Amino acid sequence: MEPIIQLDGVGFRYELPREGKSDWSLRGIRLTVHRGEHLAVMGPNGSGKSTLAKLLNGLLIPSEGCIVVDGLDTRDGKTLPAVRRKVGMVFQNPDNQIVGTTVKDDVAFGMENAGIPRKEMLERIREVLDRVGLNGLEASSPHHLSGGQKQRLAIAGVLAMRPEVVVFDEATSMLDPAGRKEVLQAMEELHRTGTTVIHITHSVREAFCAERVLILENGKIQWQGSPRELFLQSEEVCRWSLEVPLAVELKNRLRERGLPVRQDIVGTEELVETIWTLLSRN
Amino acid sequence: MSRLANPILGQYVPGTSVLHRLDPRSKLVFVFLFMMAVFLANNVLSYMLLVLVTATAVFLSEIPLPLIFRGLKPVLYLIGLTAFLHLWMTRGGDVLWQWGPVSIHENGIVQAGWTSLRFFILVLMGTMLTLTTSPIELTDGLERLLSPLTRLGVPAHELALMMSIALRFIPTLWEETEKIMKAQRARGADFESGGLYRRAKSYIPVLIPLFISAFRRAEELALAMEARGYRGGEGRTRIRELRYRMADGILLAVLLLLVGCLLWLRN
Ligand SMILES: Nc1ncnc2c1ncn2[C@@H]1O[C@H](COP(=O)(O)OP(=O)(O)OP(=O)(O)O)[C@@H](O)[C@H]1O
Ligand SMILES: [Mg+2]
Repeated sequence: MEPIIQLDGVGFRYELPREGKSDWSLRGIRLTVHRGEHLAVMGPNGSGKSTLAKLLNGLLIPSEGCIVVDGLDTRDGKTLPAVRRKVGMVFQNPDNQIVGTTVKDDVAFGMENAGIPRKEMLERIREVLDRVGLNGLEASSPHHLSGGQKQRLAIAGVLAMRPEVVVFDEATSMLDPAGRKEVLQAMEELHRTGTTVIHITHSVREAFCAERVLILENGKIQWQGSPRELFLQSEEVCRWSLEVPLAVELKNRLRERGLPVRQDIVGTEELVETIWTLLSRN
Repeated sequence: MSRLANPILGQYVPGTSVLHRLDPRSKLVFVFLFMMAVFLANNVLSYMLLVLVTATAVFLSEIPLPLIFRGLKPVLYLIGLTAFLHLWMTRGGDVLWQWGPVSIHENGIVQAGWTSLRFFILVLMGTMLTLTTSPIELTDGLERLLSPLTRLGVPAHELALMMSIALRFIPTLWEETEKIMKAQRARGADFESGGLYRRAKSYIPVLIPLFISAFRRAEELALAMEARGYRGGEGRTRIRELRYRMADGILLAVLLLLVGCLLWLRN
């Protein structure tokens, strides 16, 4: 697989570290993100997830080590605009990332910054609003949109720049279940069409949709692997204070009671099946 | 309906009239120069001309008169007050009425009349601009008009961006204010009773969280803008397009004609 982002020995510390914290927010990060990959990043509060996200598009520049995005080093000021076009970001709070007074204006904001001609902007706006399902709302004012629609607007603004990678920093955490579903669907669609998706989340269920899960703790990568592997080690999961899905929790309790339940069960359906088999055997 | 019942002075009324469709730049220039030209008028004929132009603007805007005047109400009080002051303060001409040290002179009446009329024309024309131009269009127009001054250090693009972000966030902050007020009410806050001082003080627990959240929003928005490649006004293209049309040319001709007539009528 072809790498799209490479981090080599990356460390970062804020100029003014917050009280009671070790001054390195991230330390010794070695990571390769592959083109078209769906990567989930998890970890407790303050573990450095958002810091990592901001490093990926040059909002922050590493204090040590280097980050190369599609061949461009983020430390190079001249290519920084290109890096920002390649790596789009969707943030947590739907309200605080919309700049335009109408949907159309907001989608255009990034393209205006990049100096794209008006005619092309109009075409791209039509295209991306179609993709995220907001067509017909061009002239609406953002505060009339639902949370899920606002996040989809943010996604549209990012997509208009034709990015290689989209980073979602807890982009679903402030939404209601319906809005969450809309955003996850948009994310899925992105992944299907070949865009690299990096999804920072606290929700194990959401991380489950990814191909690879990365766990950060205290600024270091503690663990990485497939979502399935993650839940085989539920003790670890507890240590990282992630919530374990119900099926996994139930499986563990059944095993504690000495019932013959396989260790590698992670999904509800598998578990239901196993329980049925057990019941019919008795 | 509440907006019809209690419109704010100069609040934009959406529409498709000729005035609505004019380019915001030409409206801005026209109103600005018109307001200066008003001070050229110094006789009955020239004032009649100004009234005629203003009335035409009101007619062309297709905005219902009651709506315009209800918004103007606070200004009418102010005009009444200044007229009243002129009436008593201005000396000169025959004394028409006297009671001890207070008196009304002939010039007082004349002065009160003309200043009220002038004041009224100024405000009415000003509101015609904001009634027929949405705030965002105004912002756009201002930005383009000021952009030649960028070289002299006028931050035209930044000012316009500030205004449009303010416009974008007014409803959001307003919603938030209501939310905080509800939350404080649930904790026993009382915003209605007591004197002015007590009521003003009761808003402190609303304003402080509001400010804190506004600062957080500003910080996050700045980050989001940077992530979307914002680097200031240089090299930016625009999605919003302004174009001069035939009507804008006519407006300019009207303006020139008006100034010419006023200069000619002046004595
Ligand atoms: N602007 C800042 N200035 C100083 N220190 C900061 C700043 N932002 C974050 N930090 C510190 O850096 C560390 C990592 O923060 P970061 O925001 O990346 O965590 P996170 O994993 O995103 O947490 P959360 O789950 O709460 O979003 C924390 O110790 C935090 O206190
Ligand atoms: Mg975070």
